[in-house]
Amino acid sequence: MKPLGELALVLGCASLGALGTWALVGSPSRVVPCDPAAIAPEEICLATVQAEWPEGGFLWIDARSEQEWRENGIAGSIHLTTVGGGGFDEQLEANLDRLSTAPRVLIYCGSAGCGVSKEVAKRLDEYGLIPESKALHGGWDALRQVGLVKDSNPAN
Amino acid sequence: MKAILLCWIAGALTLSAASLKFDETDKEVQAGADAKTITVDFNFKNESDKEVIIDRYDAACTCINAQIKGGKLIYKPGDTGVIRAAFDMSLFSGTVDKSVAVWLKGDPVNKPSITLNTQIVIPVLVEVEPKTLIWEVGEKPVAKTVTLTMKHTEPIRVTDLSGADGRFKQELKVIEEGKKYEVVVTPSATDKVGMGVIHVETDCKVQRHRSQRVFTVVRQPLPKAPGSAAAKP
Repeated sequence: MKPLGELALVLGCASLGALGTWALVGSPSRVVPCDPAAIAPEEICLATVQAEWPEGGFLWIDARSEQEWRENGIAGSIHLTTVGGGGFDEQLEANLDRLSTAPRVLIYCGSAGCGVSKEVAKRLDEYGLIPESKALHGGWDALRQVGLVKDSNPAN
Repeated sequence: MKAILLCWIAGALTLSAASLKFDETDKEVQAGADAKTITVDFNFKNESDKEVIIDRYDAACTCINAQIKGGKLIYKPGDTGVIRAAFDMSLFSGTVDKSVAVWLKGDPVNKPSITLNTQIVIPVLVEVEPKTLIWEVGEKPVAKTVTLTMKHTEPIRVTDLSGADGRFKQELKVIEEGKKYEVVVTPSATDKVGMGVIHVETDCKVQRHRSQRVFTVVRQPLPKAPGSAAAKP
């Protein structure tokens, strides 16, 4: 019985600590943290985009798999990735009409750790087709957590 | 006193997390011009005094097949292991960065505690510079030039040059046969937006370098300064 009592005491203390933190700090933030000074040069924070990029003045690029893009990609986005599929050149050619008229592109992939959006941004810079290409820090997670993603579809 | 000690242990448990120590987490690999698959090993050891469990590992690319040698996921103190990443490079050339994320038990879903990075350098046998020619609407429709430099030990010749868009005229100039060429492109007009692709075919023996593309664009001048409205998808 004594070990059980001690276990209950430990759990009670841990729970009290957690409740105290909740009361003092509030509920945990669902927003993907993003410090502009700490992210990679080819990345941008969603807050920066929302504050500084003109609405409708950029093109969304979905760098996830083609299947994911077709399922719920951001409305109006195009699909361009280095994940499987065809060569980068062929994808650029297929989307040239949208890419060549975009002053800026914002690329997202699956999560903060996926890295594909940064790779796409680098490749686009090599081609010099877009004046400014940035990868969204946090990717799909960042969009979802601030409610920018619903059941969107690129065909919309 | 015992109760205080137990509370301290409860608190400390949440702060400590064992990890795996890798010999290297960043590797650079020089590949051959015709390399199709490249294999990179990441060796690790559990140098902590606790058991470490690999929850999952994920390569954000279908071009990577990541495996843990022997399929072992639980590592006791002192145990060693290898994560082997096999890269399918058939679609790539130039410098390519790829990563494999490793989640240990207890890691947040969106924050793996280990990221293994590989930079693969595949020689570019046909260098196209620049890859895109741009004119702004209203700009004088002057000719602009793309230089093709062959970087192989053997000569590589341009065998065909074709453009799908009649608004751009292209001409091939041989600077040094098998070594250096220029493609001179002239838009017929720049009064409105337009775009095209010029396909350059060569006799390069390595398939991935054989065909090249040059992008040509007439576009609107860019706005001088960004606005301040909020972004919405």
